[in-house]
Amino acid sequence: MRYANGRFGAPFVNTATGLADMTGEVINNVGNPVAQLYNHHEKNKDLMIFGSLNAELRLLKDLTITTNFGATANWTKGYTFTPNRDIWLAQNPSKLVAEYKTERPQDPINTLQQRRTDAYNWNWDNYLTYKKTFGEHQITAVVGISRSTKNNFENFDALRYDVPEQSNYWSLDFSDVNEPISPLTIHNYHTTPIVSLSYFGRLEYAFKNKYLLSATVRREGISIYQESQRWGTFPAASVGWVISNEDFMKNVSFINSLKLRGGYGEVGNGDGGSFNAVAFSSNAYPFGDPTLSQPGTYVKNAVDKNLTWETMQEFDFGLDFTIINNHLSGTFDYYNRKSKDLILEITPPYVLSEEPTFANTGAVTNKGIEATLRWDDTIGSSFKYWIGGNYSHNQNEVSEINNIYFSNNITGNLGNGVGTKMVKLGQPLGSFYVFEQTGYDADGKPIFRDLDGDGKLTDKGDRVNAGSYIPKFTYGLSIGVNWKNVDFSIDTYAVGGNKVYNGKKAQRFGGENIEYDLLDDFWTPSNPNAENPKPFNNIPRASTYYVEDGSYFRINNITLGYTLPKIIKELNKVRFYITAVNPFIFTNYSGYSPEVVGGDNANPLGTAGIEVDAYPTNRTFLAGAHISF
Amino acid sequence: MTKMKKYTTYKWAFAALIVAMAGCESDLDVELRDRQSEIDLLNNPDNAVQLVNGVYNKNLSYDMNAFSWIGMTSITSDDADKGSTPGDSGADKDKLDNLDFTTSSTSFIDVWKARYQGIGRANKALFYLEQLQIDATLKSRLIGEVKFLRALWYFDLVRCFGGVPIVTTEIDINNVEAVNSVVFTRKSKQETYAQIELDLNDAISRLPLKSQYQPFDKGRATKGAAQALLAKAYLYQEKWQQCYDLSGEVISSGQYSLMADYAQVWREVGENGSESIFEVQATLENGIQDYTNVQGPRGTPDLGWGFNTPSLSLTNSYEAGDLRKAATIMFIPSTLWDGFVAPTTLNNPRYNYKAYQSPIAESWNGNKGVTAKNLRVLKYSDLLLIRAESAFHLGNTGEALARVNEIRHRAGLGDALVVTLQSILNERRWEMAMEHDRWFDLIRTGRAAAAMAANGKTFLVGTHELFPIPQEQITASGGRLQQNPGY
Repeated sequence: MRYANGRFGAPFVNTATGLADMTGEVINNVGNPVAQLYNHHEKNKDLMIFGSLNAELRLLKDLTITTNFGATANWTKGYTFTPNRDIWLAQNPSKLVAEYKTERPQDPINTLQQRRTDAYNWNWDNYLTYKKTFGEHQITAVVGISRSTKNNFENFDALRYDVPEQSNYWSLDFSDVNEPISPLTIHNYHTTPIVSLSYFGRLEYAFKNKYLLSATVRREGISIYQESQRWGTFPAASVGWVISNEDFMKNVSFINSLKLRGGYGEVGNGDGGSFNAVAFSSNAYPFGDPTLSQPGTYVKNAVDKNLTWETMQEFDFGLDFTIINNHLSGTFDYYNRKSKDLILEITPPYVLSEEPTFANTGAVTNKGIEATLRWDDTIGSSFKYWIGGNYSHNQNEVSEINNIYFSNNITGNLGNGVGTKMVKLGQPLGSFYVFEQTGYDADGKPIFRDLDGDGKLTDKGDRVNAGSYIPKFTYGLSIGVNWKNVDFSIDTYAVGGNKVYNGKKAQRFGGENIEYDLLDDFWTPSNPNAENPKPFNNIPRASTYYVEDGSYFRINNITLGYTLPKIIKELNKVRFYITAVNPFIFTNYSGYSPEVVGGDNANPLGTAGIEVDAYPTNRTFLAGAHISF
Repeated sequence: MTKMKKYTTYKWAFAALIVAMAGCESDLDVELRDRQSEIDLLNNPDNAVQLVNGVYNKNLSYDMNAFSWIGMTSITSDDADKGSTPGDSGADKDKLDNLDFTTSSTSFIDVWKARYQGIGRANKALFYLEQLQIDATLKSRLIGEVKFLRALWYFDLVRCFGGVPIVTTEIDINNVEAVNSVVFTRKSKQETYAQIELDLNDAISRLPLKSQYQPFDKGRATKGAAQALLAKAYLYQEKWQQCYDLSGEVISSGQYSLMADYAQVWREVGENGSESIFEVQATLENGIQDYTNVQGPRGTPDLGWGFNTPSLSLTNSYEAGDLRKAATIMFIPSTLWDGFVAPTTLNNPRYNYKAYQSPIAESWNGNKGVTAKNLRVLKYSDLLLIRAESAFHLGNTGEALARVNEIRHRAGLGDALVVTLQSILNERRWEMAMEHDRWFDLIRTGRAAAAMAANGKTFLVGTHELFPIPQEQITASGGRLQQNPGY
């Protein structure tokens, strides 16, 4: 809303009339979002070039050498123009323009920030391939080296005050006349690149196309770790048996293909920041007369000098088949994955490390099965359809704890000092351990169960297991139809057995917006069994009140497409389509979205599975054309 | 060579070249770009001073000296109320005001965390200072500065929590035994004070006098600061003779004197003045995060969050004519010292005047969150009262009376004719009002239960003398840290 003088409405109320009034008192902590948008001028431009170069050279009849180079270069530029005086006037709509100078003599009229970044990451693989067939034996051998540089990024930005107003602000130049009043704030930051190098070899052997064997070994090194911890060796081997190619299967016509496979492999994960050694960051502190800032140095985090590769050891056993004239196809897998020397951020005592640091904390095991099934068929001459489904069941478990900070600390911090997760042997990683809410007291405040009966509520004695955000099972269903030139498909995905911590239900301050469900049913003396407690303002305990069932069934996309009949010889295919992405989600979860990946790269000990600052999942509608020549 | 053979040779040469170039193990020795490496630090002697500056910097952080510290040392006491609007808990400040806080109140976490992080910086600084090749006098002074800061933080910890873990060296985080026995084990109150005394005595022998510092080093820890802090630590331990002697040394050093105008002590003109023994330095670029903002007047116009408002109890306790009342309490409505008219549209009737940073007459760039207000940690008037109190306990009422009257003259009051322990403590209340000492003064003198009862709050004797160790710290220690009695 705007007042008569053209200024934006601010959250003021005239206590005498009860109406919004630009000379009133502040009632609300939420500003005017239209004013904020109106006064926000920001532009960003991004240029990314990526490409690869690939060359192959035949050295001998069966021996080739291949080299593969790829790089991504990225440049961005941006500016943000902040009209400080206009924003102040929007927040104080009854003031005059001239009053800004008297009330805020040291504030700038406006601020301009210029930003530039560039990044360059590349990788280079070289390998030799040997391929030979001896009668019924087929051998392929590959040996090679791979090198990559990533996390190579630089940022540069600068700030100026009181620039002349323009229609675009791409240059700071025209403001160098105001050096005396401008803060000359310049930031420049370059990340430490991560370089990795690996030597690898692979041998594949097939006999009569029935018996398959594959073995690989990788020796990997990465720059992150300290010298003696840089290298890891990761072997893998698998066997396969194409049963359907056997002689005895020749007469079994209803089985078109059947393959049994099994294997064991190790994969290395080189995680852990960009440089695992003691390093000094800068800060500042003022001294002197006149007081001037002087540079200071400190260490942000302690370092575990033994940090090394995380290894995922997986044993897998599976079956692939197509039967009934290739109408029905499917796969079935059993897997047992152990992530050993799991790299996670742990919080050492503050006196030893100000910030969290990476360590090989223990091991997590994921065991389960995966199955997919699909039916393809045709009715008549032009109606094709398929129905597919998949199901997987997974059991996640912390199987080893090798670090006291991994097991001791309460994690899943909501950002207000309250933690929601604990690590326990035999339980899923990132399990919620919270206090159990049993009801309300006479004053509408929640009461909690004192599990160990010692009269106090302690983390060790009274937190109960409230489930984990990791789903126990997932499944999906998809259907596709192809009729003449029209194609239609629906794809769905669902999870179950997972919990979500709805942190948004907590803490009501004066003046913010409140969810309708809360307003509808909260504790009052006449409604003592309400869903929600009496509105409160302090930091609540982590409790079962906030843990909800997070299972959902989501329709991923619905696509309708039409392929033009072939008119022009040069146009191979022209297809128009419309797609709805995430159109529907069915869930009992009361928050915005049950899919909460969490920050910090989905750190399981972080906010994964916790909804605090939430944004509902977008529904997108796309229309497009696919043309191939 | 035939063309074919030449081609073959080139092929093999090319192949070999590619293979050789691709794998260079030394590529994995990447240079650190976004921070300084240990080797670089130790190579340059200038880094010694920077390392110590980095320790001072911890005093600027929010959890060290802002909302949580204000809550624990001031809002709890009878000198101040929570403030702000009635519905605003400030996370746990309502509980601190009412003395019904729990072991998981966030203020305790912040205060514990910031001080231990500071102590960690001090330990690291001492570790590297030992290895740096610099001028011996400078090195000695720097070690003294760091030990002063470390002692200051241990002093805060022991006053808040009692005996705490004493960590004075670097410990490898993987050394479980050392971590369990040193970091996760509380020492006794006596042992903690012993560590404070050890650090301060060493600092006293290393640090120069206030006047011996160059102008560009103004604000660093001085011999007088270490002596004053140690005198205060003796006071808290009731070691009257040592307290009396040491505070006498500071007085006779001639380095300090009372400023003429009490009101100016906390204003920008009084920064690092004659009365200042130690202050946390602040500028517009590097100020204490939110110290003034937390206590700034709330309402229209919006000058701050409005917490830590002076109580009626404090307001009504002053003698008639005491200049300190008007300098400590900002009454609403009124015209402030810089000409600003504080209107009735502000929420609370009184605000902490000492925390007021003037946008009109003092350094100001529009950022309420970081201002140039220095935090006065140790003042000469504080030391005079310490001398008076210890003198009184030793039976030297003449000295006590003389010091008390020095304070009273400056406050515009007439001479006191006699001095009692209560009158000294009253002077202390008025002189040091809203300066983060009241809560501790009430407890160490055994007057907390009565004073809080008079203020309408219940002080649990046997429990509230110490704040609870943050529950999350006890959990993080695997249960090794013992909680304080009654929690």
